[in-house]
Amino acid sequence: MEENDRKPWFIRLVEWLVTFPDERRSQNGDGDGDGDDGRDYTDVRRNYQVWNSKSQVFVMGGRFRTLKRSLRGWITFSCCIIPFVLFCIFEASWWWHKISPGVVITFVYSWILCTASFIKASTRDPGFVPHNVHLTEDPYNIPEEYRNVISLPCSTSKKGVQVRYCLTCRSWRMPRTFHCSKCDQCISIHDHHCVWITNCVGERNYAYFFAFLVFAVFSSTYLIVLEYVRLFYNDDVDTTLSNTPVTLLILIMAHITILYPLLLLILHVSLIAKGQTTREYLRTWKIHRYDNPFSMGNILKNSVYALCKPRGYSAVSSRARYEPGDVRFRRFES
Amino acid sequence: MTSNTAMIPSFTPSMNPSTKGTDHGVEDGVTGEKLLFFNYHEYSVKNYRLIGENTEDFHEQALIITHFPNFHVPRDSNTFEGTRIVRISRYFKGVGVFVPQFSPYLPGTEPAAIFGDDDTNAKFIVQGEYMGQFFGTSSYSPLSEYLTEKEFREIVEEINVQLRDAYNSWSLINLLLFVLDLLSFWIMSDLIHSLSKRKLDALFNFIDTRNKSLEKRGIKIISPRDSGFLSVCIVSTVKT
Repeated sequence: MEENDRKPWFIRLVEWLVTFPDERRSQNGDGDGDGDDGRDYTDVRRNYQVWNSKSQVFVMGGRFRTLKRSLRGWITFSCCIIPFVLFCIFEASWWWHKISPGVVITFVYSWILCTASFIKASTRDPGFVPHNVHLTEDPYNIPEEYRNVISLPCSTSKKGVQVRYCLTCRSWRMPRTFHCSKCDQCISIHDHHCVWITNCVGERNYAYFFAFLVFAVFSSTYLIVLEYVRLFYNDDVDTTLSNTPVTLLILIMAHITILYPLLLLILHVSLIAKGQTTREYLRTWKIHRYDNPFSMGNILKNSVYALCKPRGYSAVSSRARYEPGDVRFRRFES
Repeated sequence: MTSNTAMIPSFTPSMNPSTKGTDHGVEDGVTGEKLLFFNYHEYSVKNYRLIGENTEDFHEQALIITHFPNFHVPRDSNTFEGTRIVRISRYFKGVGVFVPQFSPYLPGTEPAAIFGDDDTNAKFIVQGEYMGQFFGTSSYSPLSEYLTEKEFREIVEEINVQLRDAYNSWSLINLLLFVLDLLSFWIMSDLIHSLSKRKLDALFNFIDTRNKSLEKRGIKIISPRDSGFLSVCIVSTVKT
C-alpha cells in the first residue's frame, strides 16, 4: 500500500483506467512458480490487477475487460456508433417533424440496445474458469490419469459426456468447457472466440451476443427501410440526394452492417434450436443423427436454456479483494 | 494424512486402475459397455514407501491418491500444513448436464471406485507414504473417518437441490427479470442483486451453518464458488 501511495495521482488514475495485469506480473517476477506466493504485490487490492492471463486488459478498475489486440472490436463498435450518429444529426429531425417522433424513438431505442448488447458481450466475463483449482501434490508433475479424456455417464445420452484436465489452467474442464488460447483462459460452454467483439462467447455472455446479433439486424433493417423511404419520399431522388447526400452514405453503411450479423443470426437461431454451440456444430455437422447430450429435445426448452439461464456469480470475480498467496493467480508452466 | 496407529499393510490385490471410467470411456465406443461414474480427481502412483519399509520403491499394487494439499490457503501458513482436502467431483446424471451438480457418492463408494480385496473393509486404510502424505490402495479417502455415507449424501443433496433452484431457467420470475433486463439495456442486472445470486447466497449460508457443527468434528466444507463450481472441497485436519 505504501508503494501505491508514492505513485503520482495521474499514474494511479491511468493504471485504474487501463490495467495490464500481465505486465505487473512480469515486473514483480511472480506468477512463475518460484514459491513466493505473490506476497511481493504490495499495491494490489483487487484480483484483476494480478489476473492470470497473458492477454487480458482491464478497464475502469476491472469493471470491463478486453484483449491486448482489439482493433476489430473497435471497428465493430464504430459500425454501431457511426450510422446512429449520422442518422441523429442529419435525418432524425426530418422524421420527427414530417412523419412521427415514434419512428426516431424506436430507431434510437433499438440502436442503443444493439450497442449495449455489444458492450456487454465484449467487455464482460464470458464464463472464465479459474486457474489452479485442481492442483495435485506436485503441480509440475501431472499424473498420467489426468492426461486422458474421461467419459462419464449422463441421463441424456448413452455416450455420456467428457471431462478433461486442462494442462494450462490446472483445472478439470467440465463438458463444453474449452481453453481459448487468445483469451488464455478456459471458458465454460465455449461457443467460439469472436474477433469482432474481441472476446469469447461462452456461458455468461451468450445471451448478450445473441441480443447484439438480433438488434444489429433489426436496427440495420430498420435503417435501410427508413433511408429508402426517405430517398423516394418526394419521387425525386436527385433533389433529395442533393439536399441530404448523407442519406446515401447511411444507406450504404446500413447494407454493410447487416451482412455479417444476419448470417451469424441465422446460424445461431438454428444452433439454439438444436441446443448446440458453434464448436459442437463444426465438429459434428457431418455426423448423421448426432446424439446431442446437451439438447433438451425441444426447441423452446433449448432456447430458454441457452438465453435465459440464470447467470449467478462468476466463478472468479475480477473486482473481489485480492488475498495474498491466492493460488488462482499463479502460473505453473510445465 | 498421518496416523500414529500404522495399519498393517495388506497386499491384497485391488482392482486394476485400468478398469476405471477412463478406459470404459474409450472402450464404450466400441463395445457399448455401460459407463460407470468414478471420482476423476483421484489418481494412482506405484513409486511409494510401503508402511513398514524405509525407502521408496516401485510396487505393483498402486497407491490411490484421494486427498490433496489445501491450496485454498497460503502455502506458508500453518493451515496449509495442518489440513488436507478431499474433492467431490461434478456429477452428470439427472440435470447434471445443464446445472452444476455434485457427486452424492462418498469418495470410495462410486460405481467404478477401486475397492480393496476385502469388500467389508469399507474405510480408509493407510498402506503407503507418497510425498510426505499417507494413502491407501482403495478409493476410500480420509473423509470416510469423519462422515458416514448417509450424512455425506444428505449434505451434498441439499447443495444440489439449492443449485438446481438457483439455476432454474424456467421460473416465471427469472423469465420476467430477463425481459426487464433486456429492455433496460442490460443495466438492471448490474444495479440489482439478481435472483440467482440471492439463492446462491442462501446456499453459501447453508454451508456456513453446517460448517459450525462440522468444524467440531474436524472437517469443513469450502464453498463451491472458491473452486469455480467445479468441485466441492472438504477440508479435514491432518491427524497427528
